[in-house]
Amino acid sequence: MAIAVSGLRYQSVTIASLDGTKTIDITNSILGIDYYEDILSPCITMTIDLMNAYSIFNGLPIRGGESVAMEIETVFGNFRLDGEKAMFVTKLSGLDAQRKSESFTLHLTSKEALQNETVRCYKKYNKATINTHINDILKNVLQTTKIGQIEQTSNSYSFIGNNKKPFHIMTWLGPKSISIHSKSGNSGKEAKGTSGFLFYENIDGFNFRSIDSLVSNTQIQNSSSDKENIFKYTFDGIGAIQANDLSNNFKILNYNYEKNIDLMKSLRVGMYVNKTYFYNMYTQELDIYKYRLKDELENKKLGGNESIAMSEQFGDSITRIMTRASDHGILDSKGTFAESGRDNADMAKSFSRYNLLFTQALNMNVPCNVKLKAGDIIYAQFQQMESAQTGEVDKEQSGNYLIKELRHHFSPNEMLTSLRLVRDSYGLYGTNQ
Amino acid sequence: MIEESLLKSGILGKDGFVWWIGRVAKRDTWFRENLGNAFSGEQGFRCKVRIIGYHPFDDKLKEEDLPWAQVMLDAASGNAANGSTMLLQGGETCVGFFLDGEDAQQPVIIGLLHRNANVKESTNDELKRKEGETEFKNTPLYTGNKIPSTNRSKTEPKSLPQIPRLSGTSTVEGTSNKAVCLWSDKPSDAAAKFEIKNTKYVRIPSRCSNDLIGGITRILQDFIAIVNTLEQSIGQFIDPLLNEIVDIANTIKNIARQIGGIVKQIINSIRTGIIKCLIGLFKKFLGLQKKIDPTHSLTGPVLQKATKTLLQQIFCIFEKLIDVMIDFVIKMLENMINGVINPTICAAEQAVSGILAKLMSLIEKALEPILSGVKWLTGGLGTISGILRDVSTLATQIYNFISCDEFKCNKPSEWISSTSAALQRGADDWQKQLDNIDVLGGISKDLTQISKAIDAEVVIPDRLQQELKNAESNLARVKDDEDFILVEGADSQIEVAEAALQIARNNIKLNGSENTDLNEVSYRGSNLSGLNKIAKGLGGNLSSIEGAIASISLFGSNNSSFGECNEKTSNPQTQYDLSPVPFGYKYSYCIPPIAVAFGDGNEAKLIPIVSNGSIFDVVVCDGGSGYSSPLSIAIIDNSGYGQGAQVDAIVGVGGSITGAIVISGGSGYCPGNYNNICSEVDSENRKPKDPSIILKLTTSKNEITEGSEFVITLKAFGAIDGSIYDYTISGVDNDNIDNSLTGTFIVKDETSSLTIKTKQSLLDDIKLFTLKLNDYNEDIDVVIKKKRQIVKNPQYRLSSSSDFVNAGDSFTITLDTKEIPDNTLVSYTITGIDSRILTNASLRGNFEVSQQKSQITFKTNRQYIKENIDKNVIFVLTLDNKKSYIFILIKAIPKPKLPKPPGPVSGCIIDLYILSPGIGYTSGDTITDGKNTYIPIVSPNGSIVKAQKINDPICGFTGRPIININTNTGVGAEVIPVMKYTLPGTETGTGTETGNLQSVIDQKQVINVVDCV
Repeated sequence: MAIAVSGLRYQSVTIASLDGTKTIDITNSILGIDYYEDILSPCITMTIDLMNAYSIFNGLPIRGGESVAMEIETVFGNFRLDGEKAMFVTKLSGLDAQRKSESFTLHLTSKEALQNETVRCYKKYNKATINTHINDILKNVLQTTKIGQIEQTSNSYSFIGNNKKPFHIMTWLGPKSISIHSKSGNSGKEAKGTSGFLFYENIDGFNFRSIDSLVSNTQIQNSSSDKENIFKYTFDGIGAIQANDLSNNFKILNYNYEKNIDLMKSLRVGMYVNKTYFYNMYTQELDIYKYRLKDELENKKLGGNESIAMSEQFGDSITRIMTRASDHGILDSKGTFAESGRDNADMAKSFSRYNLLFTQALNMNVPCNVKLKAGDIIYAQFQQMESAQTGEVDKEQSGNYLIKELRHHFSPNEMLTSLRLVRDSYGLYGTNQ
Repeated sequence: MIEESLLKSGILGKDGFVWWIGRVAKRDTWFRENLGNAFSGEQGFRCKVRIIGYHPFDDKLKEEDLPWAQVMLDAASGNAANGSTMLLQGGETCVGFFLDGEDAQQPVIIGLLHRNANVKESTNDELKRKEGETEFKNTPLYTGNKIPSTNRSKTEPKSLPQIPRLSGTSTVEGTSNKAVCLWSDKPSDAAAKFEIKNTKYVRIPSRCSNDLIGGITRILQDFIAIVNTLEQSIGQFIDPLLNEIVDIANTIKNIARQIGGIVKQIINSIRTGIIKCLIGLFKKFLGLQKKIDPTHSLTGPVLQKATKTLLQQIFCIFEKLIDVMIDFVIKMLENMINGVINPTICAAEQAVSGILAKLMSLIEKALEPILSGVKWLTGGLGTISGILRDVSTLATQIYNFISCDEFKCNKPSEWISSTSAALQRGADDWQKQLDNIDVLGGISKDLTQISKAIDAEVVIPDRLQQELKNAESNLARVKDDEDFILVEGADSQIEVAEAALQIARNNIKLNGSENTDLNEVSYRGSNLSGLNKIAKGLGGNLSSIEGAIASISLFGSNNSSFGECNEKTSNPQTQYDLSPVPFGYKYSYCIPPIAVAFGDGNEAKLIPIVSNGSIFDVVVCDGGSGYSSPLSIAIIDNSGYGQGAQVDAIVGVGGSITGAIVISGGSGYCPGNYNNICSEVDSENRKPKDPSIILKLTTSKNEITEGSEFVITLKAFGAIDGSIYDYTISGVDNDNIDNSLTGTFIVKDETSSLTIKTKQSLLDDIKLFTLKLNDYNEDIDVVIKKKRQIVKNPQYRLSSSSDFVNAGDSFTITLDTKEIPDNTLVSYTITGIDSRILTNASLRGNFEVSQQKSQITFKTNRQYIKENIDKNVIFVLTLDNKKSYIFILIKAIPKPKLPKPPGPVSGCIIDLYILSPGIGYTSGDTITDGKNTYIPIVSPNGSIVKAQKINDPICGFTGRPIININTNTGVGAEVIPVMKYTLPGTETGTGTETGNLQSVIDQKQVINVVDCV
């Protein structure tokens, strides 16, 4: 067994009462800890399974909102959530105190997730780049210092908060954002093709990153120096792993595909061909945009050097008709508006892009690596299966993947990191791998 | 979440239909922008809205930050602004939906919820206290039957100057800071552009030609006002508001043509008069010839033919004048650019005088050879100069020319759409014009003499002298030849000879002026080099009439001949002093508005009362007589700050104005000083402060020695004979002067003088005598010195290089001694001034005697004096040994006179004016103004015809209150308050609720209100 799987030591795991007067070390009561990150989730979450001979539930007591600080020693370094990063109890489930012991599960989340429920975005956010608004909301509304990577947007937007919660607003702003790295496009026939930004929290803090930049990293060339900074995991087959071999810490323990081909859904969402009626509410003009995935591929707008095989019969037919209204945000004080910077037809394209992004979703377990976090890129190498022989690298399947979701599981002798990986469909393979 | 977002189409009907209920935002956060956009063809028909559940109902989200909502039209209203007018006022409860579904950024208002009497304010006191909610009242009742104007400022304008003011003495070469500036807190550019382009000036023509001067004056004022708003850069003129480059040359041509058209009428009138005059004289002459000349049968036809030819030539000469005049006007306009900022009427009239003076000069030059030639023939015509320069003759002639029956003439007037009222213009005052022409003539003579003096050393070439001699002898020859004069064409020969003589004279003049350096010479306050330059720009030279014209106020001259006008031009204090600034601009400081009733009556004296920038009331000081209803009162603010007030007059018995109804208070007006308002009307001779009257005190001596006398003269320009102005003397007491310390000036011919005789009684070395006009910001100082004792064999004697100095100047004090050894230090002390007034010396020092003499030069600090010293100060240097002293008057730099600070405004409601009677009201309904309750008197069908008070009236309104009608049945009535301004000190508690209405209300006026309605 790899060291990373078995090496666990709780430095401290404490829970503090609501009034802060009492702190209990629950290290000895922990059965297991699961820590979750997801690039589609604005906050991190955690569950802790506890069993103890005395009642923490009533002794502390636990009523929700208590802070939990922890420091866990692993092979890849200490996993530390304390201070500003301390987690907070949101729920307690499975409470069982019938057997002279008390067992329950604590559900935790970051402080900002609770703060999100108590504050609202009400003001008018005057025209500025969207990343400016994100920073503003994080600092002034959520009042957090846990700011990770806020990627700059190329477009500006003005809107009014409408009393929405900060997480809602920041997630809502995601699709309206255009990366400064996005490909050039123009209104009409060639769309910018952005899928927007994702707002999520990981161990580093809150991030606002473009899908384009996240995904583009899945196509990093093998020879790229960028690759040196990413973890490389290999799968040699299911079986026992030799202990005390440090390289085993980078073995893929097991994997499975969660998602692959769903033609029906692809047709319904208009992945191959769709048509959008775009209505500008101020000029009262109607624009019609027809989107063909094939054209995009031929124009190599999306990158990659492989094409998507699609049904000749269905691939050229419009399978979805959409309607879209202009999105100018709120008008300025004079009542005039400015373009949002988004392409009229980006919606048509972003559907396909988004759908394709998650076409190849891969679940895998690896020895626990607390250095991994959602939004990171890892390199996964699989061996080709030929006549029950292994050894050759599977060039189709191997390559860079984006960590969409992540779970660190901490329990004695079962230290695992579960990953849900995705990658851009068009970068089918890390190109020259 | 992102999947959800991506799958949203952001359009209503696809992602659901998101309803909302909200409240229309305060009107001032959206109305102007919306209207401006609509006027300029942009998106209109919108307002801002605060939506329940989406936007907090407190100060956390400001009204101006609320989203714009489109207002949905019903199909019957049509589209493209063809059908409906949006009448939202702010505060309405509205229902709508979001065009963009759950994005909720683009609201649309479908309709409003009806508001009835039970609807309270949208926030209550408790909520306000707990949540910090802002008070916001529901839709105010309808405030008028006219669409409010767009040019409204929310903020009270400051009465203080905000940008440097032009002194009015700028040189003609300089490009000065504009004293008018663009609005910074006003509506959008679109609104401004719209109003500029759509403000109409309609001249209401007089049936007589008595508005010719007024016409030219107005054109000149408009031209300068517009030019002042332009930005000049690298030879281009830019209109910053319209964002256009202005073709200034073409503009000038157009203006010149307009003026030329009017001048043409004047030329025609003069021509007709002169020809009439000549025909009359020739008739007399021919009649006499017939009697005394036996050969008349032979000479008669020749004389008749000569007469005819003469008249034809005169006619032709006049025809040619107009082109010359247009060229002259073009040059004049070109030189007016960068002249003065404020083209007052008097300054513009000077310019008209200049045009007329030039015209007279041209006519004189053109006709004099001809008419001089026939002088002996007719025996009575004299020179054309005599005709044209004879003021009374010309005035009479002109009045005769226009053959005007004064009683049939309507006065010239002008209707301005933005003022919503016609403004009466004064009829032409030819007498004033002719006076000005005389002044210009005088200036011309002076300048000619100066020019000659300067030219004295200029050697006139022999060639020119010989040409002049030849021309003179030639002219004498043709004039003296009696036989020659009777033959056909003789007149032309004379004309030619005259012209040759004139050319010779001109050549000599030109030769002189071109070699003269005038830079360091000043003439009565004017810069001669500047005058010379303008004169050349006008096509003449210093010694010609153009030189005199160059000295008028509009060219920025500071010629003291036009002193009072220069003062008005550079330092306007009343609306009468200020020419209207163009729309979109404002003068550098705000001047309180005036109220003018235009109609067939006269003599009404109205004072608008301003509160919070809005017209609160119009006080009728004197209702005048002869007015007929309906009658509008124009609220005039030429400084460009206030706009939008609409006031109707209540006309009582005998056509006297008894009150005013403020239909719309407007905004942006600045308040005046309302202390003792109208109080001076009661005295027969103590006229109310007439802003058009300029008061100026002068003294015969600025400093005297005790025992002597001096004369203080009051010039009251524009005051009628018998006007009384009280004065108070300070700085001295009854022991120092023979006069009383208080007294009056009684004006006669706009002047009144007072002789002050001083006594030999001063204990101090000097005293500063000050005479101040009561209630006016006009005073004068005279220094009274103690008579020096004769000292035998003086050992120390101080003298100065000047008795007075201007700020920034230097002066030298010399100590002469006798029998004092060299290098002796004689200490001195300076008193009477702040040490910072001197830049190079302290208040204590020493003279170092050398050869019985010592000198010290003191330099005054101009900057410090300008910023800190209001009045002249006296520098007193005393030797510490008390053997001698000397004083110097250091003059302060006059500061602009600012309008007096506003007084408190408070008032009562004297009646309610029923603007719309409505229907369905019952006897149980009530009307309230927030302090008082009224019972509506209703007609059988429930229309309100009158409102009756049911309790003792309560005053103390500091603004025009909103009138509410409490009813469950009635609709449509609109009531507005008729306010009465309460004189400060007469109310029994301003701002309280204990005012006594009887003390301020003329009950007859109330009755008149009803009668009028």
